Amino acid sequence: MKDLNEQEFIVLNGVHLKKMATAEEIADAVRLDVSTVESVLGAAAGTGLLMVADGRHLLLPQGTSAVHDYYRTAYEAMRSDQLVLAWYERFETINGQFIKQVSEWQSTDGDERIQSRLIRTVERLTKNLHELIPLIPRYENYVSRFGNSVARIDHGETDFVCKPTIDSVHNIWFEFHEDVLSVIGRPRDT
Amino acid sequence: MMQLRVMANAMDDSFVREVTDRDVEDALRFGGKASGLAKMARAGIPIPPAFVIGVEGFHQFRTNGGKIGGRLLSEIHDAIRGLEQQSGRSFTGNDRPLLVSVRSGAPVSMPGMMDTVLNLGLTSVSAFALAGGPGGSGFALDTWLRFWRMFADIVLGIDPSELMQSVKDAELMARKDLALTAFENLERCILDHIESAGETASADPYRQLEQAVEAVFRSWDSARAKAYRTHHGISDDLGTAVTVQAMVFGNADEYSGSGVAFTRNPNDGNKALYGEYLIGRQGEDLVSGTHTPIDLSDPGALDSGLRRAFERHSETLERLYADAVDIEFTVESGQLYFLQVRPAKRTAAAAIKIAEDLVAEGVIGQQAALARITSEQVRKVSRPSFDEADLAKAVLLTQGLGSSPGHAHGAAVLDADRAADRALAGEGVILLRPTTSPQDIRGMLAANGIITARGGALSHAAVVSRALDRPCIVGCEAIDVDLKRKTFSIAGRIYHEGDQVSIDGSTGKIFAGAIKLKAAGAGLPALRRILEWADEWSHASVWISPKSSDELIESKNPSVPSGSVVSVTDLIIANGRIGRFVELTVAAGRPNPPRGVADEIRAIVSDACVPALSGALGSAIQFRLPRVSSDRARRLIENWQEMPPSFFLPLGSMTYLRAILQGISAAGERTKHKSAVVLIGGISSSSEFATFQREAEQVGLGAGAMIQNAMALDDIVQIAESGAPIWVDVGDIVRTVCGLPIEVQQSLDVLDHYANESLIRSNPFRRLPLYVTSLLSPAATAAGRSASLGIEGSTVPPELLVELHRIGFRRFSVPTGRRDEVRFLLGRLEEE
Repeated sequence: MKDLNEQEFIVLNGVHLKKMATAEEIADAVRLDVSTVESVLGAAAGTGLLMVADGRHLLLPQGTSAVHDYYRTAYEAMRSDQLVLAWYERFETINGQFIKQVSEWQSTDGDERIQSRLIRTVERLTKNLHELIPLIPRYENYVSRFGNSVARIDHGETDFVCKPTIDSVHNIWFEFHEDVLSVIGRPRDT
Repeated sequence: MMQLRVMANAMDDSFVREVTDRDVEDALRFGGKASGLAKMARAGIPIPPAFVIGVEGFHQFRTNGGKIGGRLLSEIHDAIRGLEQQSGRSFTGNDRPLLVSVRSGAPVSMPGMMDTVLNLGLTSVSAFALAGGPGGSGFALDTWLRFWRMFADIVLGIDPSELMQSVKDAELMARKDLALTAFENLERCILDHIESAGETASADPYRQLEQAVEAVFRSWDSARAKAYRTHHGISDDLGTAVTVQAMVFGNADEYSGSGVAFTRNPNDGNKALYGEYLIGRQGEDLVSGTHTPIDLSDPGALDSGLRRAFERHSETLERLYADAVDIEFTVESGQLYFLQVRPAKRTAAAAIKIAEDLVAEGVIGQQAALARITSEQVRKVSRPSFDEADLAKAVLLTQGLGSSPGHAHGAAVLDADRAADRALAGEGVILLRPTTSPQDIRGMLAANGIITARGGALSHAAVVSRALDRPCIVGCEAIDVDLKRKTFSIAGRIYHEGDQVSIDGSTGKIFAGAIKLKAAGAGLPALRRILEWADEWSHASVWISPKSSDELIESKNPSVPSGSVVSVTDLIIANGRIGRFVELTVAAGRPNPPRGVADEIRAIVSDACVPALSGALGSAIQFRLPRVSSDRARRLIENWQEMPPSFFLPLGSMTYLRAILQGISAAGERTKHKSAVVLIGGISSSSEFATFQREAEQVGLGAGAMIQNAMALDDIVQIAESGAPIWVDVGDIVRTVCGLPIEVQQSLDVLDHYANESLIRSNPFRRLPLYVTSLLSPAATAAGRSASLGIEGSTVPPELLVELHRIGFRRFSVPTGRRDEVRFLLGRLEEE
């Protein structure tokens, strides 16, 4: 099996993180135009890396291992880079804060004070992300996705806090967490 | 004299005012927070002394190039001296230091504005002096470091946990060794960390205050605040005020303390003082849970003077807010202060009870009461719950951590995709996973409830279930899931995928089998009353469309004058005969079907309808007839496209139709239900209806129609004239007019997204397109004359039903679980 190039990786990683997503949703998340995403998806379906059902895409085992292989090769150096590992340790701390805040937000029916604290945590992550972007330029996408969803929350669309079916900050956060774990080569706990 | 005072006020152009100044009630000039404080002060509520920098101060800051000018600064210093006098404390002083809070206060509250900074005013010297007081060095350091964390986070944009991490050693030293040098060292470390992070800060509280005020002003121009203003058309020139208030201390002495009080019980809404009070402690101790507070509902919890003051102020505040409020308060050396008052947070049940009581007390009217409640709260208290008798007999399998409330039952399925598929086929499922991840979303959406073997209250499953409002239990360590074998075991016993389980998302209990569910909300007296008011205002009757006879019986509510619309296909599915029924339908479509086919159809239909009819004795019931051209039939019938085309027409096969009508009629006779009505779907003209009516009447059934296309709307006045029950399936009308496939209608988010990108004007299932409104207008007029013309609204969101109500429809049919919510929403008048 041929190794993925960067663009193929970016698209298939989008499928990997989202599972069962449409080409539009993937294009939105990875910030590529839909026609590019569609052609990568089409080719990948042809080589048995993924399957399509009702316009939604799902990686097959071969596709998943191709994505993992790419992570392994592309980010090998970072897995022992003290700066990256230290960055991840800091992320663990704010990750704990964020998840706790989301849960508090839910249990208080969207308390505004908790909401503003939660958004501050998101802003903290996007600020910290700028330290990783020189190493992993595609992480810029997470920054702009967070920015868009925070603006929607500010407009009163509080579904963008944690509704699972849209690009809510909780969803983006979760995708990012899986992504960064794959970069440093660690499994997810729960 | 009076004249002169008014003149003096009008001429007062100072930027900074005490909050007791009458001008401050003007929220446009002094912000919402200060205006609220001013109103409280005027009503005699004791608040700690405070001053406010009005929006003119902000404008001066702007014209001064983003710097606080000399005049504003000296006014701030004067105002601080005012606080010193009123509090008997001294800012930057070492003994009894004055500490303040700094808050933003725009006329309109908006996101992106600076949050509160507390405890501003301590230095290493005064913190050290404070450490010698009654609170000891623990209190002094907590207070001081809390300030630095907030100041770093909010004013300087530095991660507070990183700051604390980097000064950890110095902090430990100061905690261990009560020496001024240790405090000074800690201060130096804090300032060093701030400097290494590229920011500057000073140890001087005056300079800190200045920085905090500048941060509030600058936050007006933060990207988020700007975006919010653009979105809401708020002028960029409005500006923000800043409120500075003296901090009071609940740990000053044995006559001090802090607490949180509710004027009504926030759990059940009963009118009685509720809350907690900690003697000799600060508010933070209450939050941290390190000390056991006194229960305020205990009559002896406060001394009689304090209790009387509380009762008086509670009443004043409830009148001021026209609502139940929660109060953060502190007692400092016997003097009571109210720090923050807000409309109280409350459970859904309490919200409904409080709204009802406030009407009874004459505080608000019925419409205001309806406006106080959200449809989500109505939905929450109307959730189905386990039948008590059935629950008592149920076998408990295990208990996990209840993390999203609600009762549900279904077949346990161990894979998200299989769960989604089985749910699509009409089966209720409970998704049971080791853990969940974003990849399981499809299954979580489709499931009635979710169980995970691992994970805690903050796990993905817990958060997502709460967002989806699905019952969820996490951390069921006793469950061993074997994904390969599709089994799970509990205490050595093996269960298979597909076994029925029931879950209680509050207690975390998992039971074997499917425990019966019944509608719960109608049992809550306050909700019953609120819904009666809503009905009086809306003049609407809301019918239900139950999915099975059991559901119909469980949700019967004699106090609501309405009826049920049930689909014969649903009843056959619930009866477990859909496989055979589909085979018979296919057989009936072949040329020269065997004679037994019609007889068997009749028998299956009759058996399926009997329980529904006997359950509905004494109330109206209407049957939607199976329609071979429907999207569901297309999914159920293999080789659907091989059916003869005539079968897809409403009256295309009389033998088939008659067999079904005779089945329902036989069921009516068996149950002695005299007034069953049958609804024909898919017709497009009044002549079709007339023929159908004759067929139905021949077997003793009433005839009605489900209008599903625009053509039939043209004849609807004629059809309705006979007084026959007519439903307009508004989901089908909108969908076919817009030319959308059913799949799009079933995922409204997709259309929302499409509308957000301005590709269409709006989601037509959320706001009726003008074209559809005019198509419906003869029907709306006819609905005004005939009470039996209604809207079948099972497949559209409630806001569309509100719109249809506005144009004249008064009868609606919705899924059982949404009846209360829809009754409630229809009763609320549009805000002017």
